[in-house]
Amino acid sequence: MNEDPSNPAGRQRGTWERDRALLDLGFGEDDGADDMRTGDSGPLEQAGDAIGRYRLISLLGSGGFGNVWLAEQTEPIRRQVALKLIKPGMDSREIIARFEAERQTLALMDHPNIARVLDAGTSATGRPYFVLELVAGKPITTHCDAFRLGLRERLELFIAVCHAVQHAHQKAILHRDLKPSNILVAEVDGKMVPKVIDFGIAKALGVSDEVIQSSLLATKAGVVVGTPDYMSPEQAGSTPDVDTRSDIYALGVILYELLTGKTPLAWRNPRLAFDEVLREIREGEPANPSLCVAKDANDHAAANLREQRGSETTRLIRSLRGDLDRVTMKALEKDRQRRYDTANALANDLRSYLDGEAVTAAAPTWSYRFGKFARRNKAVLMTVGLVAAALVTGTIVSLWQAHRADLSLAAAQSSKAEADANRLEANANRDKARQNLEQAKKAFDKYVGTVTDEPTLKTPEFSGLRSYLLEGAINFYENLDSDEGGDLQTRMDYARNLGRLGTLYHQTGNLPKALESLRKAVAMAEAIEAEFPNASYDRRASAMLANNLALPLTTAGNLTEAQAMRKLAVQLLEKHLSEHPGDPGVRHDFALVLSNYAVGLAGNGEMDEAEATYVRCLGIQSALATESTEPREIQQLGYLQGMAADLASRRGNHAKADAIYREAVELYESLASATPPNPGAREAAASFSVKRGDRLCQIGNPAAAVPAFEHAVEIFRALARELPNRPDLRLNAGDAKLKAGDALRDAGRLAEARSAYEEALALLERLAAEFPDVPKWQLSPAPALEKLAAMRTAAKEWPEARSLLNRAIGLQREKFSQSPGTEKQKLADLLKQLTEAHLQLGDYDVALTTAEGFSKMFPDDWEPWHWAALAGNRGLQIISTAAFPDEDSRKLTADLYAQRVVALLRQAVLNGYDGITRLQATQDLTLLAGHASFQDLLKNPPAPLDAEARLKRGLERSPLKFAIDYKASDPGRRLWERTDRTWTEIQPSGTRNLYTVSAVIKVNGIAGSELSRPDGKFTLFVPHRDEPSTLMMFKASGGAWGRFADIKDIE
Amino acid sequence: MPLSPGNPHFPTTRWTGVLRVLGSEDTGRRKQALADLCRDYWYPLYAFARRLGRSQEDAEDLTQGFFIHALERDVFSLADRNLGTLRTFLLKIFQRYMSDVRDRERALKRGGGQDHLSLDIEGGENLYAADLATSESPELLFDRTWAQSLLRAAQAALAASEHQAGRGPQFEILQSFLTPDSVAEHGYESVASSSGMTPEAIRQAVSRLRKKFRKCLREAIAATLHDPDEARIDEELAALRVALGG
Repeated sequence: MNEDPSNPAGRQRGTWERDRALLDLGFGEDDGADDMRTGDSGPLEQAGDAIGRYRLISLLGSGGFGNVWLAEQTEPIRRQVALKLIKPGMDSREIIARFEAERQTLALMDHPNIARVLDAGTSATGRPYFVLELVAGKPITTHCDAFRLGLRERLELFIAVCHAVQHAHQKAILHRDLKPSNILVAEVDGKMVPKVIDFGIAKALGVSDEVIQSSLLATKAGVVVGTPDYMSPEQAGSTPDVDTRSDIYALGVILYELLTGKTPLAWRNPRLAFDEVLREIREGEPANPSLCVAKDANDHAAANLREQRGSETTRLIRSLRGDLDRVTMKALEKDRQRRYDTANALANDLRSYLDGEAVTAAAPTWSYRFGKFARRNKAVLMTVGLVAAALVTGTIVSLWQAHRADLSLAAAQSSKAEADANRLEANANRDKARQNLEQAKKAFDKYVGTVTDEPTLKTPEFSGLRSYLLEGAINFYENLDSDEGGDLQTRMDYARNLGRLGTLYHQTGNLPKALESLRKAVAMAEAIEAEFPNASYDRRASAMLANNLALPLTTAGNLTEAQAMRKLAVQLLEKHLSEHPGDPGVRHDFALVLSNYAVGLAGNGEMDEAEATYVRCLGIQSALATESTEPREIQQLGYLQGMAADLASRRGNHAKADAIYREAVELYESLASATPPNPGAREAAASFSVKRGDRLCQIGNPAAAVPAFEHAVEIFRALARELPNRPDLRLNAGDAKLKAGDALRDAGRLAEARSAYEEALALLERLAAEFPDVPKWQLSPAPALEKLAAMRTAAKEWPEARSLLNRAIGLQREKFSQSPGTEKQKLADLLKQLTEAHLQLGDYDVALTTAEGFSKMFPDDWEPWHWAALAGNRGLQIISTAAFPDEDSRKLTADLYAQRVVALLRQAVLNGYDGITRLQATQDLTLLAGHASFQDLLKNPPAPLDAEARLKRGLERSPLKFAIDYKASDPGRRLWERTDRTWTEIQPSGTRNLYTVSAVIKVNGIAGSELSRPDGKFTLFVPHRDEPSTLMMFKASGGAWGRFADIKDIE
Repeated sequence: MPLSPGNPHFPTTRWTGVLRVLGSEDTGRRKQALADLCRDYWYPLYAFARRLGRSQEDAEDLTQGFFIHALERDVFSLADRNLGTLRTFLLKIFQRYMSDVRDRERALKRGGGQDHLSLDIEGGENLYAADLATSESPELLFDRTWAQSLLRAAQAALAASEHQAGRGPQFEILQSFLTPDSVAEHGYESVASSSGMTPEAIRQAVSRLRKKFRKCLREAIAATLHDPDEARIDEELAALRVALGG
């Protein structure tokens, strides 16, 4: 019996069966007798025994509660029945008492699809028993497969089962153990009739849910094994808690099995430990039935259904997809409130499906996904204060409801009203209602504003949530009273709400609805204006409606209509302005609307009008900015000035553009002196000065740009001195100085350019030295260094050039390590320049090392290696003329050097360079020619690498092991290991995923391996060990590369 | 003498008792109790570590080091009802131990004059090698090997008690019928003639034996539970059943 551990054969799977059987003995019946004494025992009842008026014939099977026997009833009629004998050890008296109570209810169950409980009693030995209608049939799943039933027939059977369950539920009887083996399909009068057995037995026995949970897994040797497959999530929880919906869940699992051939658990992962199974039930997301069938086209259910009148897998998938998927998944909802309430509801939806009608199971809305999202991101949501916002929504709803109630009350009263007194009261109510609504709307606007402006929500991962929250607002507006008739005020209100609605739609990406709502709103506004051209009302609101409508119209390409709207906005606001001339808010909006109109005019080619409009709105805004010190006025002024200057430039009117900038600078400066200290205005002056300088350079007048830049430098420097807590101003000063240097250089004033660069460099290096923790500022001297180096190089001042280049390269390497994709080229260029400097200074060795470093950055391209080899060739020339102690040492040095050069050339050839023979013709390679390695290369050039070889080479550079921290499903540390071309990912839960290296590619300039999955759903990218990146990337099929995870512990 | 997996001397003391011993001041008794635990439960942990991808050496180090660490840090005294069964508790703290340990530390401990529990690693590795064909997750493998260890232990306890009661020879014959296997049923005839018992008597004896085995198994399980009762034993049985592929 003892296993010999050195014999692996003794541990084959076959022995597991024996182990299982051994383990099953651990369950068994405890008949209380201490069998260590003597011992007879055997089953307590035997074939042939009489229990009441029934005679046991043969054992049909076992369950958690006892054995089921085939028995014969002797009186009053002879018939065969199923007799369930409850095992001893359960308190018989209590059982019987409870039983009697249940018995009435059980007897009331009279449904063709429920196996009837015929009788119940206690045996002579005091054991309770049930007598059940004998159902001679197979479990429903087996039956459907055996008879190769098609989709419709399966659903018909299932619907009948649902009705049966409903019948029982209505009598407050749960099944609690629904599974295919409890739904037998028998043949009755030539028809196939499903019958649910074992109803209510559990409850009658007063068995606790925990015991049910474990008994569901119990087994007796030789009988159908219980599985937790049909257990509902609430049953699988720590405290099992069941109601009718748990039965519905089980029905869902059975439906799933009928459609796809396996239960959701079986599809997911066939081998899980016990705790994992329960967790899977509670949390695991089953795949849609249509997907399962698609996944396994050889599956037997699909095969069965396929054979049904030649429906192919695709047709099956199509019929499953959509409604039938949704119905099934609704029955399988983890949250039982989202499941079907009743079995009949499930049956009805299936019936609708069969009749070709719509089902009630809705497509998963964002609110459903939001539930899961919210659970995962609860912390973030709390901090963002959106929970508060949601609470606000709740308040709003109640306020709004109060408003409606009041309104209808007012309406009712006014219709009955005879006397003035009544009318007054009605009006008072209406006013109160309106007040409520105003309050609600204010709160709501605030909510919408919060959601719209919340920066966290603007990130891509939250865009769905943002849309969801705004859609909630949409609901609100859609449901507001649509009082299309009525007085002006009400109509304006409605139009405004429509406008808000439209804007919300636009923000949530629903262009058609945005257009629909906004158009309607504007139409209403226009109608109002037509009816009341002389009335005083809030035309500003109407104007903004028109202005806002222009946006989606432009997106939709409706440019003419868009411009018409903008014009309308201008007209309405003009009129409004005439009634409220001094109002800064109105003027602010007017300036904005005018500028939008100008943009439209420019787009239409009406340049003069556009310019004139800009002049106008600039006039308005300048005045505003002068009168008020509010930052938003200055900001809008800056914005408008920029637009106006742009336009002037585009028209070729550079003088005009320049004038606008100059005026802007003067304006800001006078603002600043009028209301000191006003740093905002001075900063604006400085930035406009820079912009002016930029523009002048662009049009080829660098000389004029210089004073503009220098002016900016002055302002920034002064500001930086006054505001020591704003060191960023020093950065601005440095940048402006750099630009001055560029302008001077372009103007040919090289000496001045140099001193400008040096000044900028000094400034920025000081900043970097004072703030070692700010990476951006650490890197800021880089452009100055590069430019100075370039100047020195141009002037052939090599020693200075070299030292500058070294410094520049130091910084550039840092930039490169941060963003390898964008900074690689510049680093490469700098290295090339440095190589040149070294060569010019005669340092052949360092030159070659630098060149090698440069070429290594491009391991798979030939040009860099070719270039480096040529640089090396020059090095050789230097060696040939340099001073050496003796010829031998010169020769030795040259030999070693040449080998390195040839190695570079060889790599070039490997990478695809095919011009080596031509090379001799165009370059002076006499020195190289003398070396054996070179001759060798010429005679036997290596074949360039093909894809396979490249892959192999890439694998050498690929890591063998690493780890990542995965934050999404099954979060935690994941280990990755590679064997040749196969990667294995080990999740925290123990699940393993396999990937294959399919290619060596470059992503964002970083070389690495591309990993594919068997199902091709997405590919991953793992950078090579020697690439300066530890970023693993992810790409869904058809998508773009995105960040996946950082890799750590690389081996 | 090296300890092979599933050594016959399964502790019949309950886990609570073991815990008491582990918490006692008497280092001798503690060491013995630790050695007992280690001997009986090391293989599932070893297999778990191996299935996680650790090399043989690593897994050996981890398993050995774990028990030593557990003794030093009195980990078992932390075990209480809320931590579930010994099976789940052991796995949990082993997992924690695995992730805490750094390679350096392990290297230091190796052969560092510490208490060294000799485990039959080769035997364990052979066992593991035979299991490699399966695709179980490490946790599932752990549960399964745990279940199998328990079964072996229960069988051994049964054998011991039968021998002690003087029914040794009879036990040797009957033990192959322990599992209710239809093939075995037919075998009664063949045994009957050689043993001098009627098939019916054999059937009854086997039935008795099964009941005794049930008792042994349930006791073995109870030893791994804290405050065991029938319901909890049933639960644990069910969990082990799942692990064995049911």
